[in-house]
Amino acid sequence: MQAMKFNGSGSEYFKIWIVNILLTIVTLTLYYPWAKVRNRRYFYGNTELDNQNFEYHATGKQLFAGYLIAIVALIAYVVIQQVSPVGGVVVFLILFLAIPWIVWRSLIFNMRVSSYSNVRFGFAGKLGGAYFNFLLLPIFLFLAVYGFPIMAAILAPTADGDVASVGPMVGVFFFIGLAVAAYLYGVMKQCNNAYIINGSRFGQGEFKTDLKAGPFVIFLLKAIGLTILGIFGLLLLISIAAMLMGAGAQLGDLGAAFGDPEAMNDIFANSLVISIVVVMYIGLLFLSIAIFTYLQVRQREYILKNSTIDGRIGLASTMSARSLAWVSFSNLLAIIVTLGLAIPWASVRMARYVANHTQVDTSQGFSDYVSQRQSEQSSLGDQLGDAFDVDIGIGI
Amino acid sequence: MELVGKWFESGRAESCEATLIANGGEYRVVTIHGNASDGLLAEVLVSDRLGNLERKLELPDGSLFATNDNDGVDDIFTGVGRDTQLIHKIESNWRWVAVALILTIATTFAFFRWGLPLITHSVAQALPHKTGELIGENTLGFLDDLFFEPSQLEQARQDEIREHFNVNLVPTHQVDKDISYTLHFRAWGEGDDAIPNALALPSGDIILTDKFVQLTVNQDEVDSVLLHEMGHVEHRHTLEMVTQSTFMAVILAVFSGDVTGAGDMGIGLGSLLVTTGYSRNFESEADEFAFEHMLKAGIDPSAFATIMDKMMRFSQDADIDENAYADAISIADESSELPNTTKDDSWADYLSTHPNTQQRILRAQRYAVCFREGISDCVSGRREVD
Repeated sequence: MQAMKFNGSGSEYFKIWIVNILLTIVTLTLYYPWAKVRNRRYFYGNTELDNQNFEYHATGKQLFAGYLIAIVALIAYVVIQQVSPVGGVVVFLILFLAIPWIVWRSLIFNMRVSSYSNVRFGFAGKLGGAYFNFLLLPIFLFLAVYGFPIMAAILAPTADGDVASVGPMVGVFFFIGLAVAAYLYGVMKQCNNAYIINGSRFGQGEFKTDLKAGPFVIFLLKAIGLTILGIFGLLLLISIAAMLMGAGAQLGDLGAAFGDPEAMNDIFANSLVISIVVVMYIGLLFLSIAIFTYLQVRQREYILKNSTIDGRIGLASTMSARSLAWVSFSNLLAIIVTLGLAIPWASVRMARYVANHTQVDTSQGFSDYVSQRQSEQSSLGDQLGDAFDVDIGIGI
Repeated sequence: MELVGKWFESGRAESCEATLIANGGEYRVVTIHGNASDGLLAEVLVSDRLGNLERKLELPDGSLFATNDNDGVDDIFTGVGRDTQLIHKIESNWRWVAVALILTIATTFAFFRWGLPLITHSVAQALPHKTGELIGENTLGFLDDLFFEPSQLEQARQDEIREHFNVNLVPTHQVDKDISYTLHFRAWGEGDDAIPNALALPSGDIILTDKFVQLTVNQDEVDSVLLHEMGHVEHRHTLEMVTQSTFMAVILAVFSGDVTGAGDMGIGLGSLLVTTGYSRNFESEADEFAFEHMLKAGIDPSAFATIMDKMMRFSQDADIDENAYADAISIADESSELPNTTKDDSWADYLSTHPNTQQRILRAQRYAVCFREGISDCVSGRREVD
């Protein structure tokens, strides 16, 4: 097993990034496809494994047509949504139905324009699979999450207000709903990742993965448990802060003999409210980063461990939730403090972290792999996915 | 000239060390196995220079030569084919980067500070009346479904206010004659939770809540608020807010592809601050409209001060979070204030959707002084010619 390397530097990428932004602004965003290509090329090209690097081959020209269509579609979508609620619902439904297609086209395009060591990646998943994975499964999950509570709510009043008999029934429904939803989540994660990985190609080589739903369910339940713990911790912290503040307010009353007592009370009441809001906000932000990171790290570890190329080149993730959470949180802090100017530095730092914690078994080498003939496709799916912020959610 | 690097057979992962020799418009790639590829330099596809990335040269026979000798590549291929290092020249020069940084910050700031308000303003003013009517219809139905109940006010009282509005206010103070004003009465909340408020929709529909009517003690107070609402409609404030949020949504969507989640949050917060800034201006503008027209109509602007004061006090006593409602429907309303706002709490002042009510009351009182002294143009202090 050998870890990847990332050779980019924050200051070098800063220059590329700021010039990209300026040219994008000056050209009223028409330069965006070229900017995107330069960004991608920088990150792919600087990612190295076994002395060979990755490469992004799409050109600005290739992305441009898709970009124009995506922009027109996006503006139409936003305008319709703002002006007519009914039209907004219709457009939303159309978009909802189009998402699997967008994801599918985007996967094909992005794989085909990527290479490692002169060998192109590819994607052979079928459109039907995309609809099953990115439309049907999410709908089932949605029904499980909202269906059971709604059923409980409908059943509750029909039972003649007899609390003793209704209470347990609602509780049973709630727990069945939770269990079904957690299980469906596991199935969805298993199927989504299997669809993407088993469809991926490296030259003639086939990515293979053997995933089960169980581990994803366990990761989710642990994350929920951590969330509950975290919220309790936060509440405890806030009550302590409130108590300290309350003591402060009483001191304020003593001091008030010298001034206007009502004003003093106002000041303390205000600072109490503000500090609680601030603590709550930062706490929840930190908590959500931590929980999200935990889920990501565990899932990635499990997925990579069980995936190979042709059953002979193994993969692994060595990330830890704690270190990734620290990188994410300090990145966020740096970006906020510098009003966004630290974005290049943060992106490079994250890319380096991800590369250093991704391992590939290179002992047998890649010399047998050859690019397969594949027609270049249009980038419309990729650009639409970009414009509508469709996240494929691949854990790698 | 020579370049040292790696050579890949077409589409193969395996590479071997190689040297590319350029001579008089032709190239030759040599490995330990001997000649690997040769041809014309002009037919070689060179990847654009980017940072310190390895340069890839796609050779005419489909094979690939990769090298870290970026300067060497530029030396050989300058003047042969297209320029592959134009953007790189800007990126690699700190002076150009500094210029780019300053220009970016300046244009971004200028765009949000002046460009966007100017664009939204002109778009909102250019929209046909039909747009306002469309939004108004939808919004009133939406508000009726979610917040409002039928008014409990006596029919006689409703008719009296409506009659006065239609006969005395609309004909004299309407600027845009294409707007058709309609007055509606609705109950919003009950008992201590009742909300005193007046809302204006871009269609010209003005809604008065029961609690508001109950708080007023004379016709002047009702008129002052109705004129303020007319100000919102005449200035097309709602249309402007809708246009602006549309633009914001588009801008966010376009740029969010290129920034991280944290960047999104920054933009979101920024747009919130900018947006509340706009609506503060809208309130002041509608206030000005009301005061000017009150002076013309011979109504004492202090009526506005008394009714604002009453609404503020009622809201604070009732201790309800009206901001939640106000945000949910995001149209101009009168009485919402952040709780616990003190006189010199400038942060709360800025974050409040409305200018500090006390400031608005003070301004109303200033106009009231003009009114008493018979000054018709309170801004310049010009005295009315008798």
